[in-house]
Amino acid sequence: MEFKTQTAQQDVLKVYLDSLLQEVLPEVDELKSVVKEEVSPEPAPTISVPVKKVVIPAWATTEFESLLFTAGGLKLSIPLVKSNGILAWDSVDLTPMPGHKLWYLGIISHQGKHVKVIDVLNFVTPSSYKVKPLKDRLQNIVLIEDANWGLACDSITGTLALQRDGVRWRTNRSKRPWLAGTVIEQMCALIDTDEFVRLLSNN
Amino acid sequence: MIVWAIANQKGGVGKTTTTISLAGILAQQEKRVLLVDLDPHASLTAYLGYQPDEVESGCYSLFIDKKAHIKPLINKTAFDQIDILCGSPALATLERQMGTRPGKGLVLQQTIKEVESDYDYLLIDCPPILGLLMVNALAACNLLLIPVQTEFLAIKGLERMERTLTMINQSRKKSLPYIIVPTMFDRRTRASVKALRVLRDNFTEHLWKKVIPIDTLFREASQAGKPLSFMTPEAKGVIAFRALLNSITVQSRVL
Repeated sequence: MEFKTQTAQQDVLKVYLDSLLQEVLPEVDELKSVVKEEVSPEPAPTISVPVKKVVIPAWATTEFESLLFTAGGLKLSIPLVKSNGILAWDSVDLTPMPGHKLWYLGIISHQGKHVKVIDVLNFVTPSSYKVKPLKDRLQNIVLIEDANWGLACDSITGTLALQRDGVRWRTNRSKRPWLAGTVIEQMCALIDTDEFVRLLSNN
Repeated sequence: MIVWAIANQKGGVGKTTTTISLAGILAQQEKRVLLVDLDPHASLTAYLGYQPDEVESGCYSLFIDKKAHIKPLINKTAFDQIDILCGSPALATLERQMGTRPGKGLVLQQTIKEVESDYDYLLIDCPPILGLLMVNALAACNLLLIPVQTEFLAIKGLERMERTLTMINQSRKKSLPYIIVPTMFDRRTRASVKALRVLRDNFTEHLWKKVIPIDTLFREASQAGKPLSFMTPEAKGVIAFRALLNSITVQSRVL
């Protein structure tokens, strides 16, 4: 009984919200005033509007899982299919590589491979952002690209099944080409790992 | 222009304090801020020195007059960077007058386009009731902040707010990002600590990791009619709101 009542209430609420949020056309008198203001009898010139093309990576064409993690309070995610594992920061022995950029932390040895480890936060955010020292912050390393690269981050917050519509895909990647889009509900950056690795290699 | 709505279907959780505190900090960062008081209680309006019962222009006119423009309805405040679209008790009558007219949930979204280039931020203080005004706020904003007092009943209110948001998202056919902000946290009380734990266990995804602590200076600032950051820049409440702003800004900067 209680269930039925709740459903009925939800139905009422849905009708109410649908109505309030309905896109309505201007009323007739408003349309008339617009028509009156149309003084030019000439046909309007044709304007070509460039169509913005959404770039959707191949791994996102169907439902996909993403791995959520944080770096200095920043929420980030990568497609799970592109991750090769997660290591605990305390469990690895990092060999620092002096003379490189600040975000390049060094190399670790993992299953016979040399994994290049980077500080994700330092790489993706402007250097003006103040963060705690690395040792107080980093807890995990997310392995990507056949474990050639390791993304050092603060914490792993979970995984999330995503539909294509759950992401606001970017139409222009000229700035921050690594950013594929935004996971809408979580307001979280979704990383295009291929692009990310390309940028890391170029740097 | 960045548009944030500050809403919760429970009253007394810190909505107005959140709105004015964020506005104060943004203003001190040289950002131009427009505040929109959609609450018929008009606490924000009173906070900034206007008598809600005597307000001649404000949100009410925006809804009632089909041809109204937003710019002439905006009032100045004592703070250079902060303007306000005042609230008034008459807002409570809107639901009866037009609560079921199609499209009336999009009035604010459409009218604020007019001031798009005049302000850096627009912050909407919402009423604690689901209705025409809250729907307008949620349809107009890019981000929703949900202040939640760290106590049991407020958490119940949060569940209701999340359900409402889901339904609005379904009607809008798009998702609105939101952040839950634990407020009035008093580490000395067991109830507060327990409520925070419940929030962290059940609302992890959208929860801001820190808290806004209880701070009596907020009350003093409201009596003085100033955002707390203008009165006591290093108050613990201000530091917490600055951290919240920083956290949202860092996230937005990357996205």
